[in-house]
Amino acid sequence: MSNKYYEFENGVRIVYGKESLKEELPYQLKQLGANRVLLISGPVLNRIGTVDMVREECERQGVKIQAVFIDVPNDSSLEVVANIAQVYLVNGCDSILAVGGGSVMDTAKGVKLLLSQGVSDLSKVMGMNMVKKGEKIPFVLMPTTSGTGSEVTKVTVISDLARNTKLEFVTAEILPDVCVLDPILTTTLPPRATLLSGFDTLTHAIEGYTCTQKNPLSDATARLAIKLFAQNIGGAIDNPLDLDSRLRMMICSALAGASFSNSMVGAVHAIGHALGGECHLGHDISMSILLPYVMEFNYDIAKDLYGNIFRLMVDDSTYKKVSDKNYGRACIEYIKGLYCKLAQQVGAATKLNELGVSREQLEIVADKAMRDGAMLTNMKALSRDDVMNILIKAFE
Amino acid sequence: MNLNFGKVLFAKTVFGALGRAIKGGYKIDSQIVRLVQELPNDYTVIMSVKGTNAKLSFTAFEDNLIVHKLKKAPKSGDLEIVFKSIDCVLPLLCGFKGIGQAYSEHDFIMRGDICKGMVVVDLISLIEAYLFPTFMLKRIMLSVPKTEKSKARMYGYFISGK
Repeated sequence: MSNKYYEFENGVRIVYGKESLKEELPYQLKQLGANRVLLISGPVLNRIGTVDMVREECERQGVKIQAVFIDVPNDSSLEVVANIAQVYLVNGCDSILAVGGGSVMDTAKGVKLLLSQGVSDLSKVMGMNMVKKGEKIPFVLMPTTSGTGSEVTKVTVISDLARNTKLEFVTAEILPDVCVLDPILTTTLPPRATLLSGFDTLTHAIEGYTCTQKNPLSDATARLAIKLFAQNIGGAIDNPLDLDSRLRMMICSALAGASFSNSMVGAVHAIGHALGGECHLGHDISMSILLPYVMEFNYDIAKDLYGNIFRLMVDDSTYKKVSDKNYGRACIEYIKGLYCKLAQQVGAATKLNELGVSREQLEIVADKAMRDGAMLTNMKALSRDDVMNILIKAFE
Repeated sequence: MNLNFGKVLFAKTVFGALGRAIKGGYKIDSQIVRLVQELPNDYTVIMSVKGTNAKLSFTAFEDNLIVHKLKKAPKSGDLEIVFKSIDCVLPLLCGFKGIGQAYSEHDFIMRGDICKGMVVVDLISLIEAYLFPTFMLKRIMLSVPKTEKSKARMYGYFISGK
């Protein structure tokens, strides 16, 4: 271990386990002094009854849900954040509870930032660790995917639709006070979404473990996340109602989120953000498709680390079949094979051209990727040509 | 002489030299011109050190670049890179650390669009490539950017202003 300076911060109380919705959520809200809660969620969760389930449990235990916003789209945007902030103010709310996947949680983080900093334009507080402590607003997140890890990260990404780009905000001010991980909320996640959000988690853990800002504490959380992923992704897809697999995947997601929030990510995210901004691809599918190709690019620098990852992901007999010089290569092949197998099972895309991305768009994506902050912390420097090569391999 | 005073004086001197190098680079290297053109018109960038008055600032226009003298430096900018202390910035200014590593090690905080920050990082990296010897650059950068002109040409600008 060198004497380099490190930072690791996670001020979130993580409450996790079966029945934590019933046993803990209302209690935690009351402890935070939440009297008039704004509940933020998405239309699908509203349709399948998740929003009602959460609202009824809160009100049954004396926590008033003052207002509900259930129209968060798949991609959060500055406009949606502004609209929700208006709902909060007009209804006299004093706290925020968000129930949903990455876009719901990212949107809620944007709302909290806007309100606590007292600004009307979120772009005024863009940046990295520059935001001062704002007004205290009780803030609770309940993920329904596993996932983006957004429930424990200092990062939120919000689309600026006017400029067709994604804006990044990095500050501890957007961390929730509490996140509640109840696996019951993920049992309705379809197999395809389980796979893609799972690979999003895996990408967080792998990039957190292999970026230039890696540190001992972020490594520890990343390694455990990778192990939990390998042991539980199959079970979560094959048995969606298995609460044990679901809970372990939620823990995996939180650990991976804590890892990359306290290290960084790399080229998978830089290129993925650009694909999201330009081609409107979901973050999870971008990560899933790009991961092995970026790993191939990084191989000569990161092969020992990939060897460690391989050890975490496979059982003893599989590991022993590979010679020690090839662990890194075997890791990439294993991940590629795992994704292809599971993608075929659940009907997910394995190449970008299956998702309506055109060859011409790849040029614009490459330009945007070069300007993403995550490019700076990839273990190996990439030129624009390198990014294009990765995109072409991922394209067809 | 107070050590901190000396460090701040050194930082101000090097920031001044960096500013001159940015002006020179804009004149001689089209890569730097293209990077400046990626920034919006009338876009001010400030690099400063918390608790000191050491500062480097410039404003990018569509077809021009103005590097501000310290006394006339703007108080706020569109993009602000603030080093946490004088001890955080000195390794960068002495060529012992690249800006990428400074970012990795949380040496600075940043207000503004992170994408524009990446443009400035590329700009500073190119300027470092002009100013520091290659053996130092290879130690502090994952990949040393290629300059269009020679270091001698840049140092020529330093001396003559042309």
